Amino acid sequence: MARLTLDSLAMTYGHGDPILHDLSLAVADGQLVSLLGPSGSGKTTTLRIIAGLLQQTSGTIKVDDEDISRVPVYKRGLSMVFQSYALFPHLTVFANVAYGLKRQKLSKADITAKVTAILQTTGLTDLAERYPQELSGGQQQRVALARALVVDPRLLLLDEPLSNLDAKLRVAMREEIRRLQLQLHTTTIFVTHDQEECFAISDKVAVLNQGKIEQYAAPEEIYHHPQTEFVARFIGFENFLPVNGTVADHAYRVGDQTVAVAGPTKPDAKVLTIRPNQIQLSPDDQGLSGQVTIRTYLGSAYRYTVDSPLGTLQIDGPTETPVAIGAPLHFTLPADQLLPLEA
Amino acid sequence: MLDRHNHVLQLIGVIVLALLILPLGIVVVTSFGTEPTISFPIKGFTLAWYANIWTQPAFVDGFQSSLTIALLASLLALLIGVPAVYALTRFDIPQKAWFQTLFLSPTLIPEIVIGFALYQTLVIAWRLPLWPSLLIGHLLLCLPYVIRLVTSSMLHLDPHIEEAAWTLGTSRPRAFFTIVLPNIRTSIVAAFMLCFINSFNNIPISLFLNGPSQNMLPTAILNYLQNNYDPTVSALSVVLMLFTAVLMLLMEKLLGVGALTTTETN
Ligand SMILES: Nc1ncnc2c1ncn2[C@@H]1O[C@H](COP(=O)(O)OP(=O)(O)OP(=O)(O)O)[C@@H](O)[C@H]1O
Ligand SMILES: [Mg+2]
Repeated sequence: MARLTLDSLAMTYGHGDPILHDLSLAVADGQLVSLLGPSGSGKTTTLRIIAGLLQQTSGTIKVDDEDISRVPVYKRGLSMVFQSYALFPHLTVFANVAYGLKRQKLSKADITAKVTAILQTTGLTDLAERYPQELSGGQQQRVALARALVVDPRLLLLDEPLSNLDAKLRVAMREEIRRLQLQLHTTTIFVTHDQEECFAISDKVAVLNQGKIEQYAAPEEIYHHPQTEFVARFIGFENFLPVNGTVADHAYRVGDQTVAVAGPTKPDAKVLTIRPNQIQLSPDDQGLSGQVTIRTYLGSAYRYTVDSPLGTLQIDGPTETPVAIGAPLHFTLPADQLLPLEA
Repeated sequence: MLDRHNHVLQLIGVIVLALLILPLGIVVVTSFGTEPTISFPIKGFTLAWYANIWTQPAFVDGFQSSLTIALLASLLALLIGVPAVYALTRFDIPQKAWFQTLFLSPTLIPEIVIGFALYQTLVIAWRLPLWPSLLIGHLLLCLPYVIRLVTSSMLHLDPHIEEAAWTLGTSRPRAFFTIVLPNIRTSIVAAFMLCFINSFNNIPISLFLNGPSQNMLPTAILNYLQNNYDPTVSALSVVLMLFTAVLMLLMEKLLGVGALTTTETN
């Protein structure tokens, strides 16, 4: 239950290249913020720096107004859930959860009461006397959460907590995490490389690329208005048309073609982007035409790779009317769906 | 196919067991013989040789020194070895490999060479008394067991569990005792047993660092055998077997069932 402020964090391991550059982030009280980024983008590094498990090269970390940049990990009052869950193998579920409370000056009765309550909340009451090895992945995950939450942390840090679970359980657990987080009003940082997962439960998402935050906004904003090509690619935009000029104030030049957009053009636009399912097939052979080179079946649609005058495009089409490889495909780019990007 | 495999395995098991047990059985039997020299089968039954053990000061003193040295050397090896392993597996130490080799090197050198080298340096050159020299020698003997066993169980231990303890408000030393130590307990117990038994049985190192004032049991037995070939040694062997067995059982009882017989998995 606190605000988190990261100010110009930088990190270099040993004498290597810098991993984080000038990373700043403000998280409001009670929010769940996701760090989203590909493998190696510095998500774990950032989380471990916040936790105090790694010392940043420079920059400050504040919780509310307290500067914790140099506070040792065990005095920070932040809980972390690890990807491997990191349960204590020699302790029962109950003792695992009680472990953090033992360091607080609490009576035995208080500890038992708190542990019992959180086990109840997380649905673990019946498993209290089991050992971690005797639990399924989902149950271990719950214990890790209960253990982290029972100490009433100022911040909850989650490092890809769902990546070891199967798809179905992942959806159930992420909702569970969100429910607990809202119920306890715990400010939470959630690390993931799965965009769907983080869009589903986050108040805000910070997209990380090579140790820099490319965009920090609400999920809806990021989904509809990615600011950079990197962010757009990461969230499912597949088509990037290089822009080499504007035509009046309603169209861009792409190669030798003119592509109309809705709204005024931006002089600094570098690429136009659009999702494969936003491109429209034209049944009456109108619009642009290209040739299908690859067809993949996605279940809900076919995805065509199309050689067109605009370059190679990814276009989704309905499964009822498949287009054969080698056949021509006619399509139009809806002007109001094309997104100009300046970086 | 599998069945035949099993039979072959069983047969090998039986042969190995027989080769192990048979000589021991013969020793046990000969310790009760009435003949003045060790002979098998025995002609009569007596407990006299057992009584005779206690009349030999070399055996009684040797037992005491061997026990003391073995216990101290094993404990010291743990006190030095466990923190060393912790540091080597958890911190980024430059020359890590070099340290690892250093700690394991005593196993690579024949013990007789170690004994001789220690004799030359500690006793002759530095004029150290025999007892500390012996202790150092046995410590060197024990250290590799600790390093090897504890390293392998440290490597199996998820480093994040310790970090989880820190984030839950536990200081580093406290987390070591409450989280790391309980999880490597099995290997520590096993290392202690191996150290103890190896030190207690050791001849090559003790041979060089022995002296009239400082007798060790295995060397005392050797000395005794050179002059006598009576069943006292058989009786002593039986006592030692029982002693070791009781020790094992005690450890097992004190430190939890399975600590010695199961291998660490988590
Ligand atoms: N101990 C270390 N020493 C040197 N470099 C490291 C260390 N740990 C991580 N790195 C490097 O730092 C970069 C960021 O790593 P980090 O673990 O933060 O990525 P991540 O975003 O969590 O990736 P993933 O999704 O794969 O977990 C990577 O290039 C990695 O190689
Ligand atoms: Mg990571």
